[in-house]
Amino acid sequence: MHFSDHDLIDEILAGSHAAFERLIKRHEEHVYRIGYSYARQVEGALDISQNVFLKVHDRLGSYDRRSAFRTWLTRVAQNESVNWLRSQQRHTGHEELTPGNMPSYQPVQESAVLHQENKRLLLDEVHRLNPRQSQALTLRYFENMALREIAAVLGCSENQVKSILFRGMQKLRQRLPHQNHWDQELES
Amino acid sequence: MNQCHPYQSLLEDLLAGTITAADGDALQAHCSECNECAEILDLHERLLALGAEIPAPDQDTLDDRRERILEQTMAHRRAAGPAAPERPRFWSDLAQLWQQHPAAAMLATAAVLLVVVFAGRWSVKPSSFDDDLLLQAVQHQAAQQAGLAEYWDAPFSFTNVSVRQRPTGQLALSFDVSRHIDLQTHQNSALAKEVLLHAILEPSSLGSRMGAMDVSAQIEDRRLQDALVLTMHHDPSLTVRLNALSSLARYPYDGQVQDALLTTLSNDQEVQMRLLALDQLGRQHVGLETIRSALGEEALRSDPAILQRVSAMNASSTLSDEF
Repeated sequence: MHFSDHDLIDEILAGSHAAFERLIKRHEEHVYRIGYSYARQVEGALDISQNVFLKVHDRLGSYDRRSAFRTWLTRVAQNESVNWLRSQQRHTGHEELTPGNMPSYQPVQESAVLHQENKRLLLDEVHRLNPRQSQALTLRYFENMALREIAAVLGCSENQVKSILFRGMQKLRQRLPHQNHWDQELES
Repeated sequence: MNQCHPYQSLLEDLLAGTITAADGDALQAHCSECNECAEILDLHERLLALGAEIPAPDQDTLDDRRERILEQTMAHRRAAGPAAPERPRFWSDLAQLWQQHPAAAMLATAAVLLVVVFAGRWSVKPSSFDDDLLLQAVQHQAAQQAGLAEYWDAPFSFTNVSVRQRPTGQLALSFDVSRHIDLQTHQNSALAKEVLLHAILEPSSLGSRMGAMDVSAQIEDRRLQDALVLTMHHDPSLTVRLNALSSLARYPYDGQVQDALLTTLSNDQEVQMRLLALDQLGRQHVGLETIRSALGEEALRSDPAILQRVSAMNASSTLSDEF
């Protein structure tokens, strides 16, 4: 017998732990991937996932079922990821990256290290975009969500999502040195 | 890039994952001449590559985290109100027993193994040593089951399940678990309950599902009860839901079953389900206020059959006067 998310939620609200376990299993990888796109490390992503499901359990009564459960869960996961990132910055005393304190792009001997650093910078920049652009890009590229699903999470039309993605990419293009520049550095 | 850029809408389609193959080719060709578009295309490809690099979490780690979440939510529930039914954890309990009372644990383990071995020999005539081992494994696994979560995680998947009653409390079980098994065992054995559970929740046919529920109605077991409640709430077939509801009469005055019946009263759209639930709740002397609250004023006003039944339940006719 197939149980929809809403069937399982009914059972959870009636006190079933088995149903909650089933719901977690169904969505844990989705939540983990969102967490990973922010934390960029497995432990952090797992911490985020754990917090997300604890919050979901606490707030399930307030989920109004007007949107799909996965849409609601995605919003909770993104909010929790942003909170986690902020708390990490507070604990480690990280400064938020600004154009003034961005690391310079000096060529280094180890191409693998430079490659990793480039990825880190790209992800940093994705999370420095305005929240809607950052959310849209995260869902599109790290969650591989369809346009329709992203629109549901952001609460806007599919055309607006296209526009948000495009503007976000333009910002990234302006802020990041182009890959060719890095490739030239690697070659030199 | 300004708004007039002729390729902006194609770039938007590309980023959204909705671009056609022909448009994709046209955009690629354009990118060889336009730096701005080429840079966005490059970023798009780098982000796709980054998304593909996210490492999958280790399954054991996921299991461990899930267990932690469930423990925390259970602790939270226990602190917040009446205790939810706890799901016994066989392995952790056994490990604890080994630590605290190794001698007792050794005896208990030996007893369990003896029961499993003798139960297997008594109830079936395996065709080979491998089959004997398979059945022992199935029986051993069935003996460990405590809740529906284990049903969902069961290492054996049962198909083509059918259950027939035999005299003196025996059941004839027939099912496939990597090979076909026919055997006779007592209805209260762990294996009989396990097979019944699968017959109810993953039925081969409507008939086998109904038959399994009829048999379940004679056996008191928490997992079978949960399975009947799930079926009563969610099975798409009205006939099956009605049968599950009738089978739950096996558990009179059980708080969880009464709550489940009230949920049916409140959520099920079929008047037959509501009437049957009303009958069961009435027989268990559930208060009229509780019933009326579950039904809702609208159902009482709009459905004469339900109003009539509720009125009949009220010996003093108070409800009839009110409506």
